[in-house]
Amino acid sequence: MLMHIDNDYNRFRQIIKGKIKDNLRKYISNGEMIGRRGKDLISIPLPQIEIPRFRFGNNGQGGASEGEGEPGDPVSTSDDDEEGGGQAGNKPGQHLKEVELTLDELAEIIGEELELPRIEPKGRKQIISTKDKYTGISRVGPESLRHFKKTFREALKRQIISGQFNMERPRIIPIRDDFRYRSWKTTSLPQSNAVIIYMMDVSGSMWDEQKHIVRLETFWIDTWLQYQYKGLTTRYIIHDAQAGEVDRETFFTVRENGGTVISSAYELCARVIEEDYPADEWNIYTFHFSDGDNWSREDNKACAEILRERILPSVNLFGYGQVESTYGSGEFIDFLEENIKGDNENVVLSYIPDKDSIYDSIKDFLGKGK
Amino acid sequence: MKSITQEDIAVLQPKIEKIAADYGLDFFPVIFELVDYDTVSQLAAYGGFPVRYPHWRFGMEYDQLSKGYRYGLQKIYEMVINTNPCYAYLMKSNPLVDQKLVMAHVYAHCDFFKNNYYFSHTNRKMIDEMANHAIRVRRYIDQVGLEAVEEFIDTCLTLENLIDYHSPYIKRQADVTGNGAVKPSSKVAKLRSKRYMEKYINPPELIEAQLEEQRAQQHEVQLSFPNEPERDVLLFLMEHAPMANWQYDVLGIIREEAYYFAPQGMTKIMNEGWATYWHSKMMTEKILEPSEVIDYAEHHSGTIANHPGRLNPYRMGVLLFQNIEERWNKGQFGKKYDECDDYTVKKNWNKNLGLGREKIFEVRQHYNDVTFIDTFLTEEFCREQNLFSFAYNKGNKRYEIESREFHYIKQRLLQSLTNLGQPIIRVLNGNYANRGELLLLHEFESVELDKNYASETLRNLYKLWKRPVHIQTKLDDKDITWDYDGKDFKQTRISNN
Amino acid sequence: MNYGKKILTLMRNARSNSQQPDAKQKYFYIQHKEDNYQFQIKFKDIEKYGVVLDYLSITNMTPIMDVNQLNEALEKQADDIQKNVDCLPESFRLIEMDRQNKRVQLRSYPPRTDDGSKYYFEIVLDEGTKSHFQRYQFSREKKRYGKITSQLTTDAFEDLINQLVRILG
Repeated sequence: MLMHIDNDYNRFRQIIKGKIKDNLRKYISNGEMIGRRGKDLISIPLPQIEIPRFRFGNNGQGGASEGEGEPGDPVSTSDDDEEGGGQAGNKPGQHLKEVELTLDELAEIIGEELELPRIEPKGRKQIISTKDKYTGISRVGPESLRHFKKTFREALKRQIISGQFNMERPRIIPIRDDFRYRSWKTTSLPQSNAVIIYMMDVSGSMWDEQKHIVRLETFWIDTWLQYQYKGLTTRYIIHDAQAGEVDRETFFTVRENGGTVISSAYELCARVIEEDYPADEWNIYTFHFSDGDNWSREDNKACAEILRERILPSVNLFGYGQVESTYGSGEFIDFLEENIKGDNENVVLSYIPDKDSIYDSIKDFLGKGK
Repeated sequence: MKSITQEDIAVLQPKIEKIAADYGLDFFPVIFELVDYDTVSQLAAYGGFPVRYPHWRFGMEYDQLSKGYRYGLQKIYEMVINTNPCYAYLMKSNPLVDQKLVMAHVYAHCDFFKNNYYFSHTNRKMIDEMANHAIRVRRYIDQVGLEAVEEFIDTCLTLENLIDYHSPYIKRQADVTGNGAVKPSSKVAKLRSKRYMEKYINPPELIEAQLEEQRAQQHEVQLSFPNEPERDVLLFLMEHAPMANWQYDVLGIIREEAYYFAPQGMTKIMNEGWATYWHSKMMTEKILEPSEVIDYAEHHSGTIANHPGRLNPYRMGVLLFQNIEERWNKGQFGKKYDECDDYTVKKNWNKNLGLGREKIFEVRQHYNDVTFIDTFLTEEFCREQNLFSFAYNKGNKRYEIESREFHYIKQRLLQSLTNLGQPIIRVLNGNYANRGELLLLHEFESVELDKNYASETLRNLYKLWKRPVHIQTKLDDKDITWDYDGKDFKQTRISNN
Repeated sequence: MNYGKKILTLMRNARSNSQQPDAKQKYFYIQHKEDNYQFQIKFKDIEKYGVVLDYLSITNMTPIMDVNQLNEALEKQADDIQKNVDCLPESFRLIEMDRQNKRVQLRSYPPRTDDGSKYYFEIVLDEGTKSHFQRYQFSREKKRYGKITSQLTTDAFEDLINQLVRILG
């Protein structure tokens, strides 16, 4: 059986991606993708893909069915479960409200839309892994790489166009011109040793709204970095006046009301790096989110010292995101700007007043190609 | 388990074919092909055909079907297409007993295609026609670009259901299906040109501008048209909307295919019921080996299982056919029977007429789902099958059981089947307000239109008509129009004077 | 002892003794010990009914030495401020409680918003003995917050001092 479905399928994927790109800012700031993420796939609500028709609404609508129940009892209707079940293939124009993407496809989309450069892994004892990737179809190639399906399709196309194809006695005979081959490219992948250390201020002034923003930030950072490095490790540090390492779930759900001593987190982060991630073997990403309301200037100085001496020399990137709280935003970002940013290429400071700013913030963080 | 080969099928086919013919089924030659799931998904996405014109929605359906299979959500057992010879696809991975059942099922479908009145005007060489459509659409893509053609197809598809479903005769006022159809109403002077030079010599923009002008002139003389509200909105658009030749042809293709598929939508309950009736009869009376009974029973009961809250057409159809057969065998019809109001007498009514078999063959020939239900659904049947009607409750925004009374059930069933459960829409005026605007009429019965969908659909209609478009309907018992003028969507109350 | 009244008198004296011609640009600063309390007040102006305050600090000069007692005191004071400081137009909510550094931070809740800017009072309690009162503004343009003066009636200010003294014990 020889069909063109690949072309239609690819075009469909292309259209989906285009629509997601058009709405990316919305998707990034409203967070509806979180919780829709499986291991490799993510499902995205996309009502725009539906072909509209004149159709009935609910008012006056009804039908007949069978089963138990009294007048007035609720019934489930076919609208409730049109996604699954049913007899396949006989419902043209089924309503599709969600589409699925692989996480890599999603990363490609954000990469293109936010114009994110591919990451150049750090130098020093760099392990480049190479991989042969079949990337396309070409008209020439070794017989061992002949793509039979594509070749036959070309032959079918030619025979249909030239009128040689007899639908009742289909015989497909490919000629030289129809032959198609897989082509490939050897791609260099950055070494897979990469770690992200997330730090979050969970002091009393960071409320649920701020933590939600952090959650969205980490989702997009994870998605992008996972695409760049296969096999990514993630560590989570929370702090108020003291710091501790926690698992992912705790990171986003823990409630504290302690004070804010940022150096406690930087100290722990430095220790984690020193113990587990030798800088010449690992690509290290560190991100810290806070409302910037550090307890004291002395502690600001302590932060600067740890950053300068123990963190920045080892990491690809130190990203600081200052999330606006109910009371506004503290001075820590200014302190970093004046005392740390300077000539440090691998420092990115991003101010995040609200959910709508996540888009630009992601661009700040990942736009350096570090 | 040993997998089934094409040779196994070749051995089975003559046996099953003979059994089917002995029962009186009358079918086109059937060609069975064993295919894997991926192929059957592709075919299903293409409506059963190996070649369709390029369009992303086929890819979308393929995506869903193949995923449905991977996730175990749905399983396609078979696919038959209404052609002569009739192509039927069998799933390679199914066990032998399933293949037998499906083959029996297919012969009955094919009998239905061949003999049911509503299929009598379908093109039995549709495989070639579809391939031909594909070639034409590809040619237009080469000429004007993928995006232009795709966008136009998207637009047409939003209007695809605006045809006259219950007229089995596709109107040919305009010859819309000939090869490389030429628009008859197009009288724009064109320089003669070789086809490949066409778009350089006669730039489409220029032609469209001229057409626009021509149409405007036409509207000046015609105050209001059509004379009668036109049910075939697509045909009306082909005749009166300003279009380039390729667009005219594409719209014709969409319309042609919509008419081809229409009878399948109109006879779903009957067609599936008929096929299920026969596979069950053939299997149990002639085909089944004793060792296969359990597997068969499992499959068969899956086919006719009832899903609470939704109507299974296989089940409804087969039960009604069996009911008709029984009634005509016993003589439970006619004036005397209908007028009898003694329940016990009616229940035991048996005149041993033996007319059942003959009757169901007659029914499969002359009826569609609407007339089938209208004629043969009985109060006794509704009671035995525990049927109820349900309706939307505006107050608490949910669907609720409405009644178990016969006339409610029948009325709701008919409502959901009439015009394939879609609103009936006609062209009322192509020169609305004497400004060349288009006015459609929704023939309001009892169900309101969905406003969001209407708004989106009007936007698409505007792309074709290129002047403001309106649809008249009822909302909260008041006559209104929804209007789209190229910029804004609004609602207008119609004054009743 | 009405500490509030006493402080207001001292502030008025400082204001009238001022030799500064351009009083508008100047802050007055008062440090005063009374019983076991030390008061520090920085203010811009005072007149018959109102005071323009920069900050107010009150310290109970007897330190709490026992750690358990101290933690208890911090919680009690935080609770007390949320429940009983009622002389200001905004009420307080506990924001951060840092047991390690023996510090509690309370702010107006909700903060007053105006044209994208936010205004709030803050009281920081340290070591169970010291309270510091200040008003802040978060400016939308500058995207940062900074200290600003509070405009209080003399009655409110007097009550605030007396309530804080009571809370510090």
